Amino acid sequence: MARVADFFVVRRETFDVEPGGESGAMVFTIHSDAVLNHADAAPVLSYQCRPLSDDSAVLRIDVSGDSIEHVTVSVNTVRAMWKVFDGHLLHPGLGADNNVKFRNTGEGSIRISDVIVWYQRNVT
Amino acid sequence: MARLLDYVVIQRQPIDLDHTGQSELLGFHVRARAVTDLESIPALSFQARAPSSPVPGPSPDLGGRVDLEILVNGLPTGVVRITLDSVRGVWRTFAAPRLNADSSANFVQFRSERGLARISDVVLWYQREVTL
Repeated sequence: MARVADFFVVRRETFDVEPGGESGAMVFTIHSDAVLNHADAAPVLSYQCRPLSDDSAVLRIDVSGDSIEHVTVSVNTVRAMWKVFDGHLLHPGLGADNNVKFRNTGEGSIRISDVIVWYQRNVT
Repeated sequence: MARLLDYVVIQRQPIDLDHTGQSELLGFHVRARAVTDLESIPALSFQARAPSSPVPGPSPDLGGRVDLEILVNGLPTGVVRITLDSVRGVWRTFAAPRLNADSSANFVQFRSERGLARISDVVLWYQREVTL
């Protein structure tokens, strides 16, 4: 058995989240041998984002209904973002659905793309 | 034997460097058979922002700019300049031989050369030799 990293591309395309709006739930799956109970192997959500105006966006990110991030994003320039979150929020198995949702409670719109979930597996 | 990607979460919660010269030392271990030859380039990723708010004490308010030195096991990997008080992802690559691949601990150190910094979600991405 070997511990390796794996990832799931949740969303490649860009989407905009308006003030007071949300992205809708984006579904993804992870393998049944995912390692979810070690702090140093916690999953990571990465994405690109860019505020679309001079007003700040306030991103709230939920994974399967639980909040993992609450961050103010300002300045109209693209940047990479990522967030380490608790593995127990993920449901392993290709038949189990997980989802990630972006909400914007700020004053300005924000553009998001390239949403990826990174996690670890014990493969044989 | 395959060479595959692995990562270790070093620090999830935010840490603040509140004044010039302050540093934070974070320990971690890599798993067995981490590749430490010159063909492998690990990457240290983290979230960072340069707060512009003034803080008490001798450090001046630099208006949202920090020069952040990053050391791995005491060896510098370079200085990252972060401007604007807006969070963003940053990563830094370095030579794999700097990593301790045995059971001894590794350390990453963030040190403010000037300015204030908030850092979180520190992850080291590296390669391992794995038998499948």
